[in-house]
Amino acid sequence: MKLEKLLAAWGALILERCSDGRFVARGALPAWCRELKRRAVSWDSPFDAEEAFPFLSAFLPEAEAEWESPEGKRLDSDLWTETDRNGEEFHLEASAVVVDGVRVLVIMRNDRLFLIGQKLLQRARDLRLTHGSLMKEIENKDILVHSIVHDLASPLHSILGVLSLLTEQPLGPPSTEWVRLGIEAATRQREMIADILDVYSSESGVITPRAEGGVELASVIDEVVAEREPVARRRNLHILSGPVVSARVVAEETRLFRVLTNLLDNAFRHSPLGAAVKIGAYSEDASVVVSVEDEGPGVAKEVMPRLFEKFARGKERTPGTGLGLFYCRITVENWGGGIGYEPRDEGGARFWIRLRAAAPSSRRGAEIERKVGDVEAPAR
Amino acid sequence: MRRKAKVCLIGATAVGKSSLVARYVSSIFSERYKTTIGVKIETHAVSRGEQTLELVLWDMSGEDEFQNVQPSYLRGASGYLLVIDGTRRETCDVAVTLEARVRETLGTVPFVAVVNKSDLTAAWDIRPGDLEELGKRGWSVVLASAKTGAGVEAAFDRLADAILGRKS
Repeated sequence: MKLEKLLAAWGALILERCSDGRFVARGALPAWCRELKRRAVSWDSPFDAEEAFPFLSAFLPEAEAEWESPEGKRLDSDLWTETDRNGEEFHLEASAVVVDGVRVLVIMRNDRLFLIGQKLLQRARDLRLTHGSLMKEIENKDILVHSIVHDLASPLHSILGVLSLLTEQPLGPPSTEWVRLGIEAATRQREMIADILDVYSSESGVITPRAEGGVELASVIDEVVAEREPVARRRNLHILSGPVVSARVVAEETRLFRVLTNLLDNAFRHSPLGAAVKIGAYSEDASVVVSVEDEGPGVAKEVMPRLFEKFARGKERTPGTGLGLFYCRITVENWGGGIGYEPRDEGGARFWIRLRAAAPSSRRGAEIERKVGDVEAPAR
Repeated sequence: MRRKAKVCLIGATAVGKSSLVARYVSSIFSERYKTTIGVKIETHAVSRGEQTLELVLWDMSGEDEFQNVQPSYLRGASGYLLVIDGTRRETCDVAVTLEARVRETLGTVPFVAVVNKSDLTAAWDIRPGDLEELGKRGWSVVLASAKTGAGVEAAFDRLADAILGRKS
């Protein structure tokens, strides 16, 4: 048995490098080489390897470097594909070796390896493309939903305006009650729409320079408490505010207002009649923690793992969109903060958000930073 | 007179590089996406008067997290087609990155930016403003469809002319 014939049968084309940089084929040509039909190449006499296989123009410089090196290790190329005049594809790979001082290129047809590699890469890329198109579809649907929700809010403002005008009219007892109920329902719907629009804007949001500049936490808490007091009173609840550390935190005022409102409203929804809802803030390391505590039943264990996810609600359905706590989470996370829940020892729920203290950029900032240390974390 | 010119096709994954070559060389198109591994090499001759330019087309694997355009594959290229998928805006960003990388490797060589899938303009993600931006960069931009064949020959012709130093 001749070794050269065996190699040809194996599919190996053996090319020996001549001193002038051209190559000659050694041994029998493998079948694929004859099928590929390279018109410009006469395999029996020295030829330019790049004429026969253009891909070698990328591989030969590396092969030459390896042939020159004292170690003379084997160097393998990546797979490449050539096509014959009938469109048949030949998947090839080259190896450069030195044998007894002779520089040799071995070119093999390796359809099997190509097909395995292609199958894997095809699968990965198909998944990547599917993921990309799904994300785009979700984004388009989000935009559509946002537009619809936004449009739904416009007539609601008119309804609320008209109902408010009616309250100024002398109406009989049943009509006054109906108008009050109408205003309550419309207000609830307006808040639900605000929740949805808030989530939409926060989901696509990144931290803005305005948030980095920071806001005075105490004044935002004061405003939120003042604004939610009437709501608490209507539910026969009262808000206990303080102590609240004086600090600037990384946040945007409007969104922080919404976050704290959501936390208070969540506490109201789960509080028994006559209960107190506490809100306070204290410093902890380089952060400020705002906590909202209620005297309700606390969060059911099965809900806890997905408490801050979209539409996370317990078996006992309470009014709301199921987006409030999700909005709080993504918003404070956008600011580099966090959110959490823990049951209170004495019963009830304690929700907290951790906000980064804004970097003091002036003497005023330094004063604020000093004040941050004034209120320590309460013992728990 | 016969001359050879190496032409690379580069771009993000699934922008239609292989489909453009198949349309140009063999006048065929397949809806089935078949990913390219490494590089696929084909040739196609273009006549310009007495001159024949034999384009050696290097259809390269798409640029993504799985495979990168190998700088060594660009070596010796006389020009390249930078392919963008009109239905995926992110492929335009990939093209901008690749153009800078090629310029770093090869210096200034002729290229044509081909915005493929012009048959799907209803689903286009690329806005006219994006195309204007590419134009402002001094890019030669051709809208094409490997599916219908529209613009394909024009894109390769424009590149061939640029390689030959002709004005198209």
